[in-house]
Formats: sequence, C-alpha cells, structure tokens
Amino acid sequence: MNEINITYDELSLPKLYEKFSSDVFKYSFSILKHYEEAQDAVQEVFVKYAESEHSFKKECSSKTWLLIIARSYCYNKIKSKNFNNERIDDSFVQGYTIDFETKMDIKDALLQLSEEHNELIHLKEYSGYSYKEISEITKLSVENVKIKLFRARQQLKKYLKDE
Amino acid sequence: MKHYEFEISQFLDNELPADEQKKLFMHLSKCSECAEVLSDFMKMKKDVKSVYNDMNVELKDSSALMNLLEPPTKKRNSYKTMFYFTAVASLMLGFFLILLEGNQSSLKNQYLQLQKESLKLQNEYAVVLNEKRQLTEVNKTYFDKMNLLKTTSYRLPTTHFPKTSVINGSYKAITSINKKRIPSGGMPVAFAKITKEDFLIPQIIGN
Repeated sequence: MNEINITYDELSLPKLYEKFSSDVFKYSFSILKHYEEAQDAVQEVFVKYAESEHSFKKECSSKTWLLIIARSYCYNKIKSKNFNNERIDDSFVQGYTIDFETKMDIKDALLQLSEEHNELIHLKEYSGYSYKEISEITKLSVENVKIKLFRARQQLKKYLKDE
Repeated sequence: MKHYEFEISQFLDNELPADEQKKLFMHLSKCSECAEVLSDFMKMKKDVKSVYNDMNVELKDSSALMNLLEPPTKKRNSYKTMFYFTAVASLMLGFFLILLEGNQSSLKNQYLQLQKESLKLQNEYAVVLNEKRQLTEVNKTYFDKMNLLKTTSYRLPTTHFPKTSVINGSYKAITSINKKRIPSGGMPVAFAKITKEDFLIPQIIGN
C-alpha cells in the first residue's frame, strides 16, 4: 500500500459533515452524474461513516475515508438495477450553475466522460489530490492513475473539440 | 518527432521529475502542437475547477443522518443521567447490604464461639466449685478434728514443764545412779537411751 502524507484529522461527525459534505456530494456527482442520486449518496456516506467509524484504522484522512465510502456507494449504485440512467440529462442543469456562454461545453463534455475518467478528473482538478492519494481512494496503482488521468484529459479535450 | 502530451499531463499535476521537466521545456520551445496541448490542458483544468466550485449544492436532511448529527437533547440526557445514577445507587446499596450481611454473619460466628467458650468456662467453674466444696468439707472435717483435738488434748502448762536446770539435775542424778549400776567393763545402757522426751512423755500422760 502506498504511503500517504495525510494526517488523520479527528473531527466529530457534525463537523465532518459541515466541512466535507459538499466535497462528498461533488465527488458522488462526478461518478453518478445525477443530482438527486448524489444527494442521497451524501446521506448514505455519512451514515456509513458513522457505522464504520470503529473500523476506520486512521491510516488516511477523514476526507479520504469519506471519499472511499462514497466511491464504493456510487459504483454499487450504478451497478444496481434501481439506478435510473435516464434522469442524468434532466438533473444535469440543476447540478451545474455555470456561465452558460463559457462553461456549458465543459459540463457537457464532463458528462460524456466515463464514470472513472470523470472521477479521476474531479479528484485531480477539483480536489487537488496527488497521484498517491488518488491511488489510495480508487485502489488503482500510481502508474495506472497517471495513465488513466492522461487519457481522461485527452478524452475531455476531444469532446470539447467536437462541440 | 515524439510528442510530450503524457509528460504535459504529469507536469500540470506537479508529478513530473525535474530532469524530465527540462526535456519538456526544450521540446515545448520547438513543438507548437505540444504547446497547444499544454494550453488546452491548462484551460480545462481551470474550467473543471470552476465548474465544480460553482456547483450548487443542496443537501437533503434524512432522519437517519439527522439522528447522527444532532446532539442528544437535554431530556434524553437527564433520562440517561437518572438511569446511570439509579444503577450506581442500586449497586452501592447492594454492595453495602452484602457487606452488612457479611459483618452480621461474622459477628454471629463470634457470638457462637463466645457462647461455646462461656459454656466451657461455666463447666470448668462448676468443676472447680465442686472441688472447692469438697475441699471445704475436708477442711471443715479437719477443723472439726482440730477443734476436737484442741478441746480434748492436754494443754501443756508452761509452769509444769521442768526447767532445764531441773532436767539437767535429774539427768545427772540418773546418770550417777546408772554409773553405779553399770557393771565394770560394760557400757551404761540407760544413759544412751534417755532423751528429753523421756522426761516429757510421762509428765503429759500423768497430767
């Protein structure tokens, strides 16, 4: 397992929620691409965090642990039959309140990316995690993260060019 | 000509080693395509961050989560406190009762032991009392006998007891008589047998 230079921040659950709920939502949204599903994900993630707090070995930060739970939840959700793919486009506008003139393309392009590529782009560009930290969250090797992130960027660039 | 798109991606993530960065810069100065890729990737990076930063986040308040996040109410706290207080009080009471019972049983044991010892002593006292009674009786008999002896026995008057000079005189007189009676060459037998008691006994009997 790769070593991560993150110190465990011991915060109470309400403080963690206040601090990281937004990040958990955005990360969940990057995978699920569905606003309401991402909202549900936040609830589930924090409940699961509270339930699994005793098994949390404190080898990573609370935020990383929350994102690991979120990732597991989101991919399980996508695999489940209950997940409604048709609602993705409907809820998209609700998710992104952006300058339509300049940013509409990027949100469309992001939605076209695969869950994994979108997730990697989110973890790198928005959360600013290092390759090692992304590797810890996604359970991919650092080399794999490096390559997949490059491909995600190429893909995003391609979608942007097409539009 | 080799392009450096992969290295550009790493460079933007601050993960490209210093020696490779030099190579990249050298290449970028010559390759316009890679310079454009760098520009595109940089813009994408900025736009993606902006998109996520500007995202409107509205979170749901599920009851399950709220139960976890809300601090416990005072009412619940007081119930909890009361419960713990009662539990602790019950435990303490139980402990004291057990302790008291233990003390009582030990005291009871001590009392029984003392009672046994008391009975033993009472028996011993009875035996001693019996012995004393017997001794008293013996003593009484003895004293009775003594009294009887006192009343019946002869009290030797000091005036009747012969004086030493008289005894000595008698003695001399007897010895002189005996000497006369002793045959020549033989020992005076009477001389050897005569003691003071020989003088006393006839007088007591006589009285």
